[in-house]
Amino acid sequence: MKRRFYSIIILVVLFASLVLVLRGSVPEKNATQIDGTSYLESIDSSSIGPQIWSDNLTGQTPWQLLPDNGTQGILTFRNNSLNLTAFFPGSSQYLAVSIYRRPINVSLNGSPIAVATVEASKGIHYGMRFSGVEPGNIPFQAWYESSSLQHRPGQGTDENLTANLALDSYVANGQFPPSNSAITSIKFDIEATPGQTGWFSLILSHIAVLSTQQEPYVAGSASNGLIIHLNNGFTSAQPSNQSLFQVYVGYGIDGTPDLQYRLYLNEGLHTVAEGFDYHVKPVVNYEIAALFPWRVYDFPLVYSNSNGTYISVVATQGSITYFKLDTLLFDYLSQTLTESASVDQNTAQSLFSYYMIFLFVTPITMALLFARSFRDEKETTSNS
Amino acid sequence: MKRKQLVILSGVVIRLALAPVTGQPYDMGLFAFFQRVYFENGVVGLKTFGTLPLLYFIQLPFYSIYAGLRVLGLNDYQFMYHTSLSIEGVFLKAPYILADVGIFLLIQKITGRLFPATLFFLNPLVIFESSVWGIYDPLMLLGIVYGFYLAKKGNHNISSVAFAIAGVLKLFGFLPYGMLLLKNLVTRQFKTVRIQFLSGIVIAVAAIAPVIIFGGLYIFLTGFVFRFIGVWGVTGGLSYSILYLLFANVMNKIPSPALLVLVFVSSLYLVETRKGANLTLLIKWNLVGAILLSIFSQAEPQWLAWTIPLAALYGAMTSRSGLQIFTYFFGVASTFLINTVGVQGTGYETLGLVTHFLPFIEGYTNAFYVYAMMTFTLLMLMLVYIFHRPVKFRFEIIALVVLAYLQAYFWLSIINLPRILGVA
Repeated sequence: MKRRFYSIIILVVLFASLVLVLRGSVPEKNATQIDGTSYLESIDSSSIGPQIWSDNLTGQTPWQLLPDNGTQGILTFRNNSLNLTAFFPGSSQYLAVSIYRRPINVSLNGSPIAVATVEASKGIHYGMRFSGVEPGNIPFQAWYESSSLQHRPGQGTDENLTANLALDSYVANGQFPPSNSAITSIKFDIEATPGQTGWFSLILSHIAVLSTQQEPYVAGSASNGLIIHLNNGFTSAQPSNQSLFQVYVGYGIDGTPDLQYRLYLNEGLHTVAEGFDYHVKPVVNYEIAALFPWRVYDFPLVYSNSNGTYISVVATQGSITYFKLDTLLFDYLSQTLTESASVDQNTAQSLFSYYMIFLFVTPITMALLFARSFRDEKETTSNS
Repeated sequence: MKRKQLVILSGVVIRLALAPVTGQPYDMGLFAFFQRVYFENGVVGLKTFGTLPLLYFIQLPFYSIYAGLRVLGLNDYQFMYHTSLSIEGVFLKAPYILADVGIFLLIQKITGRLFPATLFFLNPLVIFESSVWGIYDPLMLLGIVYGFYLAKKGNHNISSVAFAIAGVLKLFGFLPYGMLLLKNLVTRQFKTVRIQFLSGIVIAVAAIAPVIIFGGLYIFLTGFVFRFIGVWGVTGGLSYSILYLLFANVMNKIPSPALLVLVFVSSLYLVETRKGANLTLLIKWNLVGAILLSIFSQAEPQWLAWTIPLAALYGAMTSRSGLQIFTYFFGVASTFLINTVGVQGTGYETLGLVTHFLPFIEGYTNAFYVYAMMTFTLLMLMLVYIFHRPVKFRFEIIALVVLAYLQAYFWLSIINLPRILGVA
């Protein structure tokens, strides 16, 4: 008993000494942790600014109707609403009836957003599209096919649509439009699937373009997103031979009851890491969010045009009314998570066979053999 | 060589064959990261350490041997796309492998038989968690089983200490601790209650103190305590329970389901223990608790292995040979499901990539739902083996589970029931 006690004491002392003596002594550098709060430059908040364009939907402005062959379209205005009624004859192809509002001139400087209130008949699909011109009169699209604003199923009730015009241009074209670009055309369409026939309508009761404002964050002000800028020192502090593994952001947050938000890490216009969707918990307003390079699915709605590194806190629903950054840690590893890469097929198959043999075949075989051998075992209360 | 040593040797050889060439890339990367920043840069990363801090202190001495070898010039190598190096991986998994050996020895001591201990030790799910995945659940299970062993020897106060230590490794360990405390409270053994309560508080405070010192209290509460009781900030977070996947709207209305399960099983334990308290009942209700937690909460795949040592013990102590053998089959089936449809595919633990070696049974529509339905089925079957009178294991059960898999595949993937229900 005494010998066992001394052995334990010796082991504890030995290992404790090893842990203390070897701290920071391994020469290779395969991991790095950077405290981002040391490189914090500023926090900006993004909020909706004043209206910069709207249409009163009285019919005094130029809305043009463009029906596909075989369809009929009627455009009327009543009670500050545009009413598009269309007939589809039942074709073997997709058919659409479109309306255009052009020309307009809405500058894209300052990342404006477009808002519209639309009611489309149940059973029909509809969409909202913007296009514009760059300096030099070069046209560009500010919409993309997979956007949630395209081919939407009509609900028979008012729906509020929001389009981030500069961001949609970026997704559509792979680059942001140069400064002084402008939106020049708005299009709505209702479309019928092959075989669909009958009268359908689209009622537009509100359309406007609003500016967005980015200004230094002030606690208590409502915003739809925050940008946490890191200074240039952060870029040079990053290890050149390691890759980002994850980012930990600890913060206090509060907002409207319906607030939902997501965090992103961006280097200029490149999204490096993305987190999960969060809501405010009922018991405590503190949250820890992890951002991962392998979770990048989209681009943040709130972003900066600078080339620097920044964290975006984007309210996907509701508004943020309070935010306090507590922890910002960047973890780097020599080999970070990789989802796909080329592997020699023979090697991979051999490895998989090896894995299956040692994980399933060998243990099951051994268990069967031992079970046969232990069949004669008697139950005892042995302490052996 | 004695039979016991032969089992240990074969189990350890299997584990050492797998440990250097496999790993769950995220978890292994996480644990490697925190050890590396300590031994390479001298940084104590406890503020954001991925789990309860006691694990950090358990990993340090094991990793220090590896760090010493690196200082002496050992060259380690990157295998495939794993986030940890090969020999490094073995040292990170070493505490879990040793915990498996410890649990094997304790089951053998408690039951006096090698049969249930062997069914635990050579169970593919147990091997998978400690030696492939590299997850720390075996350490928590070692604490719990050691607590049972001490309780069997009559050392109830020290067994509470073992349970509390298990609890500060993974919160499930507090279930047997809480049950013993409640039982002593109800039976008015106030002196024992006082000792157990104080020892639990001291252990919990000692375990959390390092996190507080390094400024991570809020992170700890948010990341573990609130999350475990179901109060967490991730919207629509991933759940591995079929109830949450198919009926999220109903299930999300239940406040803190994990807490409710713990209260429920503790109450039933108290009711049954009035007829005569013994170790078997404690094991039984902890086993039921482990099963219900996997059904009624977010149910992470590694939680499935909690049932294995408990079922091996309960089966052996109540002469339920059917339960013991079913538990082995449960482990085989769960390991197969986790590898093929539960996580990122058979290439994840082997190559470190999201790859499917068996495309005909992986990556199909709603494969994840099939995983959840099958683990639910297996857990329900285990409940039947626990509450039904002792029966022999029949091989028809294997056919039944295969049929259940085909049914799950038909309804959840081909018919696409989740889409019909509007949840996928």
